[in-house]
Amino acid sequence: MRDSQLIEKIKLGDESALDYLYRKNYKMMTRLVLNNNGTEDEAKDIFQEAVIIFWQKIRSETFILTSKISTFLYSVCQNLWRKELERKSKYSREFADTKEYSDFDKEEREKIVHDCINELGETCKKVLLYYYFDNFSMQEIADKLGFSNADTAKTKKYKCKKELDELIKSKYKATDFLD
Amino acid sequence: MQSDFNPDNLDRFFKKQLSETERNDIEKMMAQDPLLKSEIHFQQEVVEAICQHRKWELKNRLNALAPESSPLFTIPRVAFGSTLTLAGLLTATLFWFDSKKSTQTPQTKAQPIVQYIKQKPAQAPNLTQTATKPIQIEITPTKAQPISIVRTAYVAMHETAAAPITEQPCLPARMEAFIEDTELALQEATIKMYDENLLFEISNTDTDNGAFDRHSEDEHNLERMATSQLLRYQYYNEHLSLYNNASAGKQIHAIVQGELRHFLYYDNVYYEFFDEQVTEIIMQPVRDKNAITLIKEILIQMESLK
Repeated sequence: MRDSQLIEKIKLGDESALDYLYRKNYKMMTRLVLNNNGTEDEAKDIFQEAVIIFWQKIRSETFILTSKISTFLYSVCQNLWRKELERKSKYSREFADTKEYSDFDKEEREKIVHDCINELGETCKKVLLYYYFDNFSMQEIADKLGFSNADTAKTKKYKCKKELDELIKSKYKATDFLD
Repeated sequence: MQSDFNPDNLDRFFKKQLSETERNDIEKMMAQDPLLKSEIHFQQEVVEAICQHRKWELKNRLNALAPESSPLFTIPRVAFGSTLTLAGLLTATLFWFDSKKSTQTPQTKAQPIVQYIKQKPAQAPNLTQTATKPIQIEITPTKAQPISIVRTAYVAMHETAAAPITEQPCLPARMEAFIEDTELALQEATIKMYDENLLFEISNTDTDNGAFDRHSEDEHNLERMATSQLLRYQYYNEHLSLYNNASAGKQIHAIVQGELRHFLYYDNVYYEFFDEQVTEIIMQPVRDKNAITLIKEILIQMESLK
């Protein structure tokens, strides 16, 4: 599949294009991490991050790809791995413990929200994920999920978000989310 | 929270789509209104968690693509090419054999219902016969009706049977189970307004019986129906959702000459549908005059039980 075809598929939200991209470039990208003091798991993790970043970027109106996809992915992997190496070397054992403690609350809150997202209906979940992460327009969401028009999708999104907010608030008070 | 805050700007705020002026305005409002500030922080965390959730989804998807199991990564090219060629030949051979078989037009989802309707007129109920046989009736009560009428009607009609119904052995237990499920469903019924169209919806927590699950894909089907106004209701696995309905329809499940048939009397029209999962909105008006007369008789009898 050519890069242009792949990009078109990704813009339409075709996740099989993501699969293709991942399998095609896996060896090359993970080699970068493996050859730079990384483990297989770290390499996989970094490459997955890069692919997901690409997925999001392609859908952004302001993003223009000026190189081959593999070149772009490679540079993203490089940057991500460099940041990871910096993070590893920066934190001493003591400081890392403190950071883990302060992150714990946030992780707990995140888990609550994730559980609530999973409690939503499948359609509601997709509407919110497509809107906030994949940056689909309301018309695209309507087309993808079979709503009659963009306004219907917008109403659905509003209701689903409200449902999610109420679910979360029912488990915790809103003040728990204040830092 | 300040009343002049536009909630639509929140999404744009989180997506960094606001101008500097708009962004500064919001930040100023947050500084002046602690409640607004806490709500926006809450919303921000929710949106971030939504994004994280989607990331996890995509990561899990990619994780499932184990590259080491992919032929692209493990099989040497020569062997891979040979394997592909062999697979292609095998597929072509199988396809050739398959094309030799007689072909039958695959039935579409709509066809079984059309076939059903076409077949049934020949087996239209004989009213004289059914008058002597007890008719087991299921009625889905409206909001105003008590739930017990379902079992009462069933028991009453069964006890007044002049002659036992000629029925398949599995039917009575099934009917009994259906009543029980319906009663349970109605006891746990949640009624909500939905897009101003859905007036009444039965939900059942017992998903093993295939009850309507408001979290299922059919939720968006309901909306599509409501907005397109193709139909005013949906029947899904023996549960009914009614839209914009001032006079709630009545489901009637009647054993007619030993066969369980399902009708809906709604908005002065009689419909017949199947006793099976309906995923498409497919209903046919009843054109069988005898069946209509039968349904009318049932309705009159049910009215007399009130």
